[in-house]
Amino acid sequence: MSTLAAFAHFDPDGMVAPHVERHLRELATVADRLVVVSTAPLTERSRATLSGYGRLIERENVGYDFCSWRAGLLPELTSSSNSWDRVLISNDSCVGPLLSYQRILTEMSASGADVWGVALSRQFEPHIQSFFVCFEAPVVRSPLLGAFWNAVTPLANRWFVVNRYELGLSRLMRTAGFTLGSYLDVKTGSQPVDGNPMIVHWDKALGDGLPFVKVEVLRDDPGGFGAETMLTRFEERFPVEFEGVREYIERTREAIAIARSGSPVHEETA
Amino acid sequence: MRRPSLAPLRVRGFPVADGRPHEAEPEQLVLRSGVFDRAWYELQAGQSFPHDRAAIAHYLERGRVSGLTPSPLFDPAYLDPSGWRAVEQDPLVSYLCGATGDHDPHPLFNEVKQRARTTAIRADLPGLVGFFALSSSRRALLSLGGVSWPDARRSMVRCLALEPGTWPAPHPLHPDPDPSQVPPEGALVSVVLPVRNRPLHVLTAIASVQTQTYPGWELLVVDDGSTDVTGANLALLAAADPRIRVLTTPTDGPTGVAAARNVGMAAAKGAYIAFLDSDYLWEPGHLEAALAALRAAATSAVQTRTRRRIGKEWVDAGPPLDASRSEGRPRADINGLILTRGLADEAGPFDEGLVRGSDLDWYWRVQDLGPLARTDVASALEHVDPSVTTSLSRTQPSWWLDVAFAQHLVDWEGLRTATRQRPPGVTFVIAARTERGRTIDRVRALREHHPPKQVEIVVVFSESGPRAVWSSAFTVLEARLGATVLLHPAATTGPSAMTLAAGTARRLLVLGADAADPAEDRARVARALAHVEGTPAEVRTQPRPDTSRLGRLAAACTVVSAADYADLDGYEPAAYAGG
Repeated sequence: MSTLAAFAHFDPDGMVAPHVERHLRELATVADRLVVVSTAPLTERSRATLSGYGRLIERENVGYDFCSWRAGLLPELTSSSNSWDRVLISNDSCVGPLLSYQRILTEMSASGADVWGVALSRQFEPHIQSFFVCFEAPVVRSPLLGAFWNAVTPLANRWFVVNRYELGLSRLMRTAGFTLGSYLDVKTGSQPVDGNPMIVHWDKALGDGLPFVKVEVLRDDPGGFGAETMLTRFEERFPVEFEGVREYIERTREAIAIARSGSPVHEETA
Repeated sequence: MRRPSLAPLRVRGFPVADGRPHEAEPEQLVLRSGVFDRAWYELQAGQSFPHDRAAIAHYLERGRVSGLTPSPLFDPAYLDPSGWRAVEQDPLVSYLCGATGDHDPHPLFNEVKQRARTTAIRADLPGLVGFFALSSSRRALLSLGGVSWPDARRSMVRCLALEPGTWPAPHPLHPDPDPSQVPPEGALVSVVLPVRNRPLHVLTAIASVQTQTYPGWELLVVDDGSTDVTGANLALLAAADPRIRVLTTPTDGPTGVAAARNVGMAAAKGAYIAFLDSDYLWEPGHLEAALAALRAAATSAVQTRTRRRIGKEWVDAGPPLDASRSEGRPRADINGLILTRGLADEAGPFDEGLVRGSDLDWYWRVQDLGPLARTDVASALEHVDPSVTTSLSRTQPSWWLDVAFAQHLVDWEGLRTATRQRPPGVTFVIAARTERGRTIDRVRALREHHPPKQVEIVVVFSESGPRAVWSSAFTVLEARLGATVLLHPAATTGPSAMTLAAGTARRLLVLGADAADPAEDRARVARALAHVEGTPAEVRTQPRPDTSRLGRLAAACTVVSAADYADLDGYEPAAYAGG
């Protein structure tokens, strides 16, 4: 099974954080072709690091991650030699994978979902959270996937991106008759919850219920579970995977705050 | 509230002559009969009249002695070959009073009245009879090698001596499925989908057609001059599915959604027509449920319910919230409408002169032709995308909707009659669009200064808003604050709210400001009350439609007599143009 993967990267200081490099290393073990799309002001060292994992595309920091994924995927999907069996998109907004990508892909292949992610949110309408999405063969073969990415253009703000692309992608897939799935639901049989499942179910990542942890959950603690408590527990449970995460959070905290206030800085999509 | 002059001729028919003299004024007699065709009369007279009553008065005073006739199917010479020489012997009034016995007013009158009732026979009616049989309303357009009924009517006026045999044959109607029978297996549904610059939204719309449980469809996507990758995306999908045809509007650049739908309808091959906008999708069972409802109701058209997501809330456009408030007309949505090709042809093309609201106009035209079956299935879903800034609702003023509203839903004659009998006093009208809490506050603030006996308050809501808070708002407004609540079947604008209110309002109408400003509300009411009390005040009556800009009505003419408002006799787009 041939797998194409696109990874969206941004770092306000142009660096590649340890947990991001680890993610790319794991992703490269399952991707036959990995395209890294960065909107960061890369240092030479970072450029060399990212290029070591796949084809590197550097682009202007506009359009959030969907435009980055478009830049990485569209040439491949519209190529006459497109024969991919699976397409993955991901970004650097989370720490993980906390178990092997091969295991994740094998378990989700058995679920039969045509398009799946780590978590399925029921906010507004059911949608796969875009920080990690896998399109299986029936979707890759459909003209809809290439047409979707063809239609992606920069939008004015994060909510517009969420509404049109994150919700719109799942709406399109569901309407086209493809089945949607999530790793969290498969592993835990989670019932629909109000709110973001990556926040509500953060503790499932301490077991094998969630293979990723959102940096936003650790940095901003939107669920009020205690940021220090969560981070300490993860550092104790996964010392290798969480090496350097604390420093990364502190280093980027101010830049992310500025980005949320409206300055033209990379924003997390989900 | 329906304009009787727009009712189809073949449906209304001619009045029964009972042989007894009528005591009603001749003008009223003619007006109530529905025989008088103002458009026909204006063509003969070479001038236009502001309303039917004025045209009838002209006919009775001068027109008929000059040889002008009130209807293409009323020929005084045929009615009585001896001639109508006496001034007081008006042939139309005489006919309506029954004084002419059993004589028909036109050689083809019986043909039309007797034979035009059956759809199957209409298809082969010859010449002039076919013209009238197919012409169900003044808006019906006949496709006769490019000749339209309005053109034909003008030709008839110019060439009254034209021999019937020289008239072109009527357009062969598409075979109309017998609604009493089950639609034939695999009856084709033609789905018309207009699109312009919606490369992502249209994918979802198309996918929703492709996943219909009913397999007998063709999809006609009409690209109205897209300048982005919409065309490329359509080509991708059409290449993979032969049931999809991509058409384009004929000129370079956009021609509008009405023209796009007309292109789609012209290319449609199916026995049924359905419409889908690019920001809608159908649930998989939509066509199947709609066709089943058609079979069950034995009609030619069916409307499913629609839902739209506004923010986090799904709004279900179901049956009228309260039929007594909304004249029984639910929110019109063409995305839930499926009808036979024959009925679609009868309704005619979409009005390309309406930049916005052409779907409403067409929908109500279909409704005027016959009953719509309804289903309880909410299978047409609209997903509002706030990032889309080029939609008609955001680029075109809402008064376009008033044009369709005024043509179809307002009985102007009845309104004029009613407003002349209004009791003295003031009616304050609020066009409530959203912010129901603010509306309640506004009414409460007015009531602190003006009890119901002094000032009537009418609040007009739109059917398309969220329903959850309506019932409680109505209770507060009516039971506690003594207001009257009306429901508008489409978007609520100032002028249309005034029109709805005018039917039962007191003699003076006051429109509330767009912004909820209690001080401004009180000032407007004070001016109106001063007028009622005879104190000279800054009351501005409604300027004539041909000189006014109706779009400024809410701002400039805050106080107007209900009777003057009723004299508007509809909103023509030209009345909104200019300064």
